[in-house]
Order: sequence, then C-alpha cells, then structure tokens
Amino acid sequence: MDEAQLLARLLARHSPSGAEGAAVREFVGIARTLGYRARIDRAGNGVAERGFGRPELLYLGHIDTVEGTRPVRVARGRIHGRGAVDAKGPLACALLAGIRADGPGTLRVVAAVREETDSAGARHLLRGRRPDGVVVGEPSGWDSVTIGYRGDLRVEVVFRARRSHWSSPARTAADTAVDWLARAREVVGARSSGTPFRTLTMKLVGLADDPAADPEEARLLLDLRLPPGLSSEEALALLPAEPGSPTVRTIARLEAVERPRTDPVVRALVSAVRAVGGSPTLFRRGGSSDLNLVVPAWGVPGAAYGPGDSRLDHTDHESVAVDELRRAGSVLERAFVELRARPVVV
Amino acid sequence: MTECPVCAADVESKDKIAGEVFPCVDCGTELEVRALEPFAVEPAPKEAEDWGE
Repeated sequence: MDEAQLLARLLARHSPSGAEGAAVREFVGIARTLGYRARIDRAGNGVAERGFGRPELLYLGHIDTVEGTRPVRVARGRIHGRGAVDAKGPLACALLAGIRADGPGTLRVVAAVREETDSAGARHLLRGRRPDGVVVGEPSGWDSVTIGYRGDLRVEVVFRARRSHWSSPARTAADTAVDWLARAREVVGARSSGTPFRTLTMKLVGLADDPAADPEEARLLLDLRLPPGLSSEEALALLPAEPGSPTVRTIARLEAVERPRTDPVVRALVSAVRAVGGSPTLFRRGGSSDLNLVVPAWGVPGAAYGPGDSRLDHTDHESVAVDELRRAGSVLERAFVELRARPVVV
Repeated sequence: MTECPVCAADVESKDKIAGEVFPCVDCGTELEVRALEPFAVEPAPKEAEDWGE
C-alpha cells in the first residue's frame, strides 16, 4: 500500500467532526495491518503505536473534517476528497512513514477527533502520557515546516436595552452593539502593526438581535486572532466596556504558539526536507491548530508538518498531489528516524 | 572553520553558537550553525507567513 492508496481508504470514510467512528475504525484496521499496536481511546481517537519506552515521539494528526462530502477521485496526479489536505493526507503519510522509521523508543501516530470544533481528541491526550516531542499533522507543504500559529479567542458580546418606541430618541440594543463594534475595531486597529502573524485581528462572525425580548437583546459573535505575546486574557481586557456595558462571554480560547528554529523537532524536519531534495521554508501561520494546545501544555519540542496546500483547507477544491504525498512520507520517515535516535528529552 | 556550502568561502566558527543565523561574508547567503563540534553550517531555511492552518 502506498500513501495515495492509504489516503483514498481514509477519504472513503466521511468523517465530519463528531461523526468520525467509521474513519477511526478504518485507521485502526489499516494500522494493525501495517504492524502497529492500534486501538480506539476513550475520546474516540485512533491510536497506533510502534516500539516501547522513551523517547516517545507523537505524530498528532486529526481524522475529522469540516462538513460537506466531495467525491474521492484521482485525476491528473492529484487525489481529491474532503480531508485530502486537512488533514487525512498528513495522517496517511505519517502512518506509512512510521513503519519505515525504526529506532529506539516509541512512535505514536494519533488520528484525533474533533480538531475542527473543540479539539476534544487532543484535549483528551493531555490527560495521558507526555511525549518527548510532537509533530502536529497539518498541511504545511512537503518542503515547509510550520513553526507558529496565532492564538484564537471567540467571544459572544451581549447588549440589552429597555424596549422603547422606535420613534423615541432611546437607542436600541442593536444601535448600541453597532456603536460598540466600531469602538472595538478602533482598539484592535491600534494594535495592528507589523507582519500579519504579529497582528491582532478581529472578525464579526455572527450577529443576532431580539427586539421583541424584554429587555431587548443584540448579540455579536467575534473571532479574534492573537499574535504571540498577547494572551487571550489580555485580549479580553482590550475589549471596550462601553458603550452599553455589554456582557462578554468567552466561547473558546487558544493561546498563540511560536517555536524557535533551534527546536529539535523543527531541525529534524528541516534536515529531512533537505535530504529529500527540498529547500525548506519555516512558516508562521495566521490560523491555529492542535499545536497551540499541546506544545505549551506539555512544554515539549514541536512543529506542524504534512503534505498539502493549506489554502485549500475547507474548500470544495481539496486535493493533494500524489507526488507530494510520497515526498512528505520520505521527509517524515527521515525525521522520525532522527528524532527516535536522538532523544528529545526535556 | 568550514566552507560556505554555496560559494565555498571560508566560514569562521569563532563566537558562533548553535542555531545562529549569519550571512556569508563572500556571497551573502544566510547560513545557520548546525553543529559546533565539528563546526558545520548550511543555508538557513527561508521564512514566510500566511493565514492558513
């Protein structure tokens, strides 16, 4: 079985977040066939292991996708399907690379669930053994390594106002919400300098109002992307208290992460890209991934790596070149060998 | 002492630390110190940003 065949089998099991069961069972079945010890953990993650003891290297992929099926097909050297890029392609490459990368210690390849929603799969892993190093399975491109992601803060801001006749001078909750949003944009704009990765941004991702309620209500759903050095707590404190004295409820928060180029996992991946004939690029990305969650929590070396163009994530054009899958598999094989031979003890 | 992997100019190891990035004095290529004993350098990875995940 090669990377493309393995990927096709994973793509054939549609697995939107929260409904990954069939794909996880397929992952575990394939892993066992390849010689891994494989199981499904309490969170529903597929877990495949080879070797014993330390160092323990974790490849943390995810098997869930966003909603929406796409036909699985190979055309002009590319394999298409929902999750081909984000992130079954990286997972397929890691699973095959693992069986070619012998060495001391343990290699664990995890097909985590619900990465696209609440990272429940990765959060479950945080309660278990801490590995010595982590590669998060996200599309970086076969010759690139992702060393940073911005943080993510999602909040609901609720405004309430006494009901009044619309002909009166009193402001509605919706009026106040719009005024507050303009003020919040000014505050965020004042922090927007430097490169995009080091810039705070804010998007309005939802709004609702209920003028018939008593008191009437208006709700804003905001998504803020946080540069390194600005915690979610600090970002919350930046939000204006006026006008309207709104209630701010945090829905989700993830801190920014940035790894140095000297991180052993980064170095192993960079060396491996070179060995396979590439000219490596270190990427800092504006989105976020499970790297934000696990590397700070465990305090271990880490980076994100996998085949595919992340600009195709979540689109109806998700596809990855078969040749890129093979190259990424070779890179991972070499990186796994180096990291298993040179323990990343912290 | 080692050679620049791009232009073969001499590269001094004095005062360098592992992971340090510095330009080759001859060709200007950004080099990264890969190891101190023995001293080894290679072209530093490029750096970039995008909005993806």
